Amino acid sequence: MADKSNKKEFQKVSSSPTRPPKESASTSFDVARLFEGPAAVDNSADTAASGLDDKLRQAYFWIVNNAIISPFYDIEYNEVPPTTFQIGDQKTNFTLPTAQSYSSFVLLPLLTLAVRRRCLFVGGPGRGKTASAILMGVLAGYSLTEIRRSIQHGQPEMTVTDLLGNPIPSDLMKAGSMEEVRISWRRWLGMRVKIIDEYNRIPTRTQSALLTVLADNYAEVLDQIYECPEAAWYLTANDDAGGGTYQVIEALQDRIDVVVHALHFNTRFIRDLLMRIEAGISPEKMVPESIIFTEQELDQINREIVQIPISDDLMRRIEFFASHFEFFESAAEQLEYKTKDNVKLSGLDLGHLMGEATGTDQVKDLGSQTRNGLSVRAIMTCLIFAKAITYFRGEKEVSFEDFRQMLPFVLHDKLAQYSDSPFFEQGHNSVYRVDRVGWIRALFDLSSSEFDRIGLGAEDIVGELSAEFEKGLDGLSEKETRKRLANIESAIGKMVESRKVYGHLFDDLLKLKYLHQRYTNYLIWLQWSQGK
Amino acid sequence: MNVLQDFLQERRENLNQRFRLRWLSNRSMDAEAFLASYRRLADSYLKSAQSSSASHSIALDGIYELLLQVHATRNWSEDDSGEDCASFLEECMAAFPALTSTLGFGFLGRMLNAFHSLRAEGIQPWRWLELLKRLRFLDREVSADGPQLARFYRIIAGLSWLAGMAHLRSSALAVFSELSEPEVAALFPRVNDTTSFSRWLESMQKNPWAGQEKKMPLLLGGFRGFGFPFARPPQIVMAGSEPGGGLLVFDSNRHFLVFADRFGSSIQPAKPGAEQSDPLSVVQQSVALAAIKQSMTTVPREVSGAVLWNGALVATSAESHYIWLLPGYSHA
Repeated sequence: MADKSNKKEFQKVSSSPTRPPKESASTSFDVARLFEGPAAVDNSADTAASGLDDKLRQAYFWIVNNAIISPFYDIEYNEVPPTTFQIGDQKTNFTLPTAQSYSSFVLLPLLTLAVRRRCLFVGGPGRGKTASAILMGVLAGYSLTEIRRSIQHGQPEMTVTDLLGNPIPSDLMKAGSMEEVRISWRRWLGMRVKIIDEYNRIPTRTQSALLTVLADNYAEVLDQIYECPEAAWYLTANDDAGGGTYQVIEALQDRIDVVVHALHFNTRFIRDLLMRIEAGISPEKMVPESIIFTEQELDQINREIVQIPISDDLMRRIEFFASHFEFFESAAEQLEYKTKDNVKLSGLDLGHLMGEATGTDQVKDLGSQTRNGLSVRAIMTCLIFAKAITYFRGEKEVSFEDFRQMLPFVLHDKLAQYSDSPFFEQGHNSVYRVDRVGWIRALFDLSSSEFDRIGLGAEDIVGELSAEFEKGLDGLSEKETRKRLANIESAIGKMVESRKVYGHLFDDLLKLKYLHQRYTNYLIWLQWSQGK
Repeated sequence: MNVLQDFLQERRENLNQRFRLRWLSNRSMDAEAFLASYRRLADSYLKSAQSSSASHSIALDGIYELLLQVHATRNWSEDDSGEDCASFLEECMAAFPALTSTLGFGFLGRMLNAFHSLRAEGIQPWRWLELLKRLRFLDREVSADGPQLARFYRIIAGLSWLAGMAHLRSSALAVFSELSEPEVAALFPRVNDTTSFSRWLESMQKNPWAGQEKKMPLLLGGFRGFGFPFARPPQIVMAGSEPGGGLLVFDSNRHFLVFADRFGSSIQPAKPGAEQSDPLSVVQQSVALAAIKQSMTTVPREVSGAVLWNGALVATSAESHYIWLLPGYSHA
């Protein structure tokens, strides 16, 4: 990697490998070593080892070393236990990571580019939100001019046609029907990087039009449709203090995949700013060719990311984590409807019902901390970004830490906090009312501890019964079917006896009901077919 | 039309920005000296490539980029000795003008790195360059991207073994086994046909001294205080079991792998116990001492360890930082 003295040389790209592989026991010497030296050449032509993941890392390090002064390592990885200090009255843990760690402000937009999702930058003005988005556009192969001109600036007068395009006036005059009217579509619709600046200043009506493009990848004006290509989206939002903002419609908010905080500027780096001013340096004009991605490369990266596996053990923990939040015992009589979503649909405030006695420990029950559960979309996004960071780090399988690191940024605006939960009254937990990232990480950590405490890693009766079912029903005898039904009923009996119903139990019971129903249907059919 | 002037004019803003950025981290860079070096290399390139109608901007930009990275650092040398970085690069560009045109920095950077890697091993870069020039016919044949280019780089990297980087023998032999007939003919003019060449490769795999008519004894290593690797007199630990594996030695501080063959020798840092042990044939010390006295002028007073390894006698002395190596030794 480039040493400190070279970090400021804007055209220099970190040499491969940017994340040294673990030392192998072999001491074999390869001829390619001849080309290791002071000139930073891209050695991916010489060995098959460095792939597009290394290019992604090179892009990351170029950005943090040259483009964006973001000297933060808030996405922490450790090879060995880190040195930790406790600081302040709140005894905040200050850790020095022992493995390659990253700045969320740079990494998450880059991963968004790789997986073509939607990234929202939040933070005060002048913190580099738009600059970061522009850089992503340049990395995707667009010129600075193209990107700047294609940015959609949210403002209260913005109309649908401003956003999407206008009918050609001469067509409007001559057309006999709507089909004959051609639309002059806005150029940005066809781009693979889309930037919406201050999206919370777009009026609600226009937000709906934006939603169609964001969610369904097409634009519609006067019955004419424009199909947009897959793209990475970057949206920025300022706080309300500047005025002129609108409530963002929930459906649009929900389509945001990750939320990235523009971190504060570390004043110890003001000299770097001064040097840039004095030298007239504009890093976005100096992006090295070697880290610009072609469309094919981005497609390839996307394909490779999707293939990264997640182990069964980790999947089990993820399932357990996701199961905590939706269940709400007071929401209905029938088990399937005992959900927070049901409460929301009724129009009642969840807080009023939270106090009802259910016997569950409101501090230990992680579900008590949220107003909603995880949607399918949210879960899928968590999985995709976990794979993306694994790919970025050059690893072959998603690790626990990969998932844990991505979770807070994905769920930031998706998991609505119930701040009156008794959990937040305990110890220093009140800080989580403000710190969303820390809160979601704590949720995952608590979930994993509970998972281990219950011993779900070792014994998973629902998993066993599911696996048995997955083998198929072909040739299953009536006797065997009845035996399986009895097993399911026995498992349910054990689960419900003198136990409070928590989220994970809720989903387990419903899964067992599902299995039971499938076997029951099969039995009915079997009996019918035998009786024919 | 002055190609260089046009290039500098067209890219003025970009080149200036890049120089300024680099200057921020290396204040010893002098613009005049930099420009002089740049003009020297650029003119040299344009002279070599004058017959080509291809665009020269990639090459000219590559030269600029290379100098930005190494000028005014200890990785750059430029004098009238003819044995410096600048002269070396000029020769490379003269031999491969088409590749310089199409690859620019990618090619030149590798040439510079090769220069430094060879020097770091105590090998004259010109030895490698002479071998490289034998492949100049590939200049217009290798395409700029993909597997063909990767293959070309591996072949020219493999030449470093022939230049004396003995630790790369196994890897180079694997690369050479894929050479085409014209490539074999260019690199090994005395080889009659590809069958003989394959046989020679095989024999080199088994015997690092194969085909050498006069086997010269070698004195390897030396005291670290004089720029050689060993802090204390080395002791032989064990030998690599795979072909091309080095001889593991230990100088009471660190482990090293010793490689030697008919093309040269090399000593590389190693991890302890990195190699599998095969029982070495231990030679009687008195016999070893006698053999050394017969072959060499620098002789230890006594031999503390001696083994037969890869067809050579290897001996060490408790009083010396050297390793004696007599290739082609046999007990008979």
